[in-house]
Amino acid sequence: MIKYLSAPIFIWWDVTYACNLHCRQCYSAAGKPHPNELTTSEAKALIKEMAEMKVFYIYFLGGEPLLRKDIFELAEYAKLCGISTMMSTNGWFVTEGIASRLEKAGFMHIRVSLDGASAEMHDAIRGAKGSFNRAVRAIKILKNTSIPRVGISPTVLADNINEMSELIELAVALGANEMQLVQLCRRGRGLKAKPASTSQLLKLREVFIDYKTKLAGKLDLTATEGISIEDNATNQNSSLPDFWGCPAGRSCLAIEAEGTVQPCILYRVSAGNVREGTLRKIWHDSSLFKGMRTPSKECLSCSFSKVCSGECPIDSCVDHAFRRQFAECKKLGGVL
Amino acid sequence: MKANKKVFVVATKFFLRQESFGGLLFTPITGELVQLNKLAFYLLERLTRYGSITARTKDLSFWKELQKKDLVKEVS
Repeated sequence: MIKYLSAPIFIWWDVTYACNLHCRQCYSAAGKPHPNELTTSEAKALIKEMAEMKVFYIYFLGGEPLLRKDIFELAEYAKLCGISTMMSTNGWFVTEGIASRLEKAGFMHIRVSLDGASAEMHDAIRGAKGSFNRAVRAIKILKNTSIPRVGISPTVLADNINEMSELIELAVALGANEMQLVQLCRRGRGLKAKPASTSQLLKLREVFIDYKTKLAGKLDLTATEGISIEDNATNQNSSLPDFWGCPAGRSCLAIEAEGTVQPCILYRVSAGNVREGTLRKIWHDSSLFKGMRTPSKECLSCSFSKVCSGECPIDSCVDHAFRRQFAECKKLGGVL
Repeated sequence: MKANKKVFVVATKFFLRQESFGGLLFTPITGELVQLNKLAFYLLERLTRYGSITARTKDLSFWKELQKKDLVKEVS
C-alpha cells in the first residue's frame, strides 16, 4: 500500500448542481439542483466532522456555488470551525455586495472560470451571452477585496486552445494571483465537447513552460498533469515529497451535492455517502480508497506513476488520448 | 556572559496537523503546504502553543528557513 494521510488535505465539494450557464465541458452536466442535496444542517454537520478530522480546506464547486442560498452560512461556519475555504465560480453573480460577503465569510481563494480571451469564445463555450463580461467584472471586483488569492481557470478545448497565450496575458493584466489550465475531462457534458488534439496540447505545453518561467513571482501558473507532465513526473515541485502523484483518495476526496463520497470530482464512483456513515470511516475503510492506495508493482515501476499514482482509472489525471501516445502507461496500452 | 537568544514568533497564520511521519503545515493565505518531519512538527507545535520560541543553536537554520518563507519572524 502506498502512503495516505490521516485525513484529506482538502475536499472538493460540489455543493449544488444548480447553474445559470450551460457550459459545453461541464463535468457535472449542471443546470438543475439535485433533488436531494444536503440540507444546511447536514452540510454543517459535515463541516464539523471535517474540522474534527483536521481537514485544512474546503473547495466549494458545483454547479454554481453562489446559487446555493446558504453558501455564505456554510463558509462562515467552516471559518468558525477553523477550516479555510475556496470557491470556483462562473462570476455571473459577483457584484460588489457579493464580493464583500465572500470576503467577510473568510474565503482564502476564489477561482473564476474563464474559457477564452474574447467574449465571442467564452460566451460560445459557456452558452450565455454576456458571461465573459460578467467573469471579467467578477475578477476585477474580487481583486478589490482583501481575499488573498483570485484565480482564473480555463478548460482547454480544441476551440479555445489557441487563445491560451492571450488568456494568460489577460490574467496578468487583470492582476490575477494564479491561473490553472485544466484539460477537458470527458464526464457530463464534457463527453460531447471537442478535446484539444495531441499536437495542440504539445504546443500548449511549450507555451505553458515558457510563461511559467517568464511569469514566476507574478502569476502562479499551473496546469493539469497532461500539460505539466514533466514537472509532476520528476516531482520537483512537490511540497509533499512522500505523497506524489494523483492525490485522489490519498490526500483528498470529493463529495457530491447529495453526500456521495468519491476519490475526486471526476472519478464518479461511490466510496460511501455521508448520510449513511461518517466521513472518517469512509476515508479509512472504503474498499475503493484502499484499492487506489494499492497500485500494482507494474504501475509502481513506471516513471509516470509519479503523475497518476498507478491506480487512477480515469482520464482526468493524464488525458487518456494524450497519455497513450506520449507516456508509457503499460496498463492502458501506452505506445511510447 | 549572557547568550544572544534568538526568539521567534508566528508571522503568518498557519495550521498544523500531526501525521505518523511528523505532520503537515498549511498556510491559508498562500495555500502553501509543507511536509514536516517529527522534530519540525514538535518545534512548530510548541511555537503555536506558547506564542514564541527561543531557538536552540542546532535548530537555528530551521527557523531561519521558515523566516524566509515569512512563516515566523525573529523578535530579539
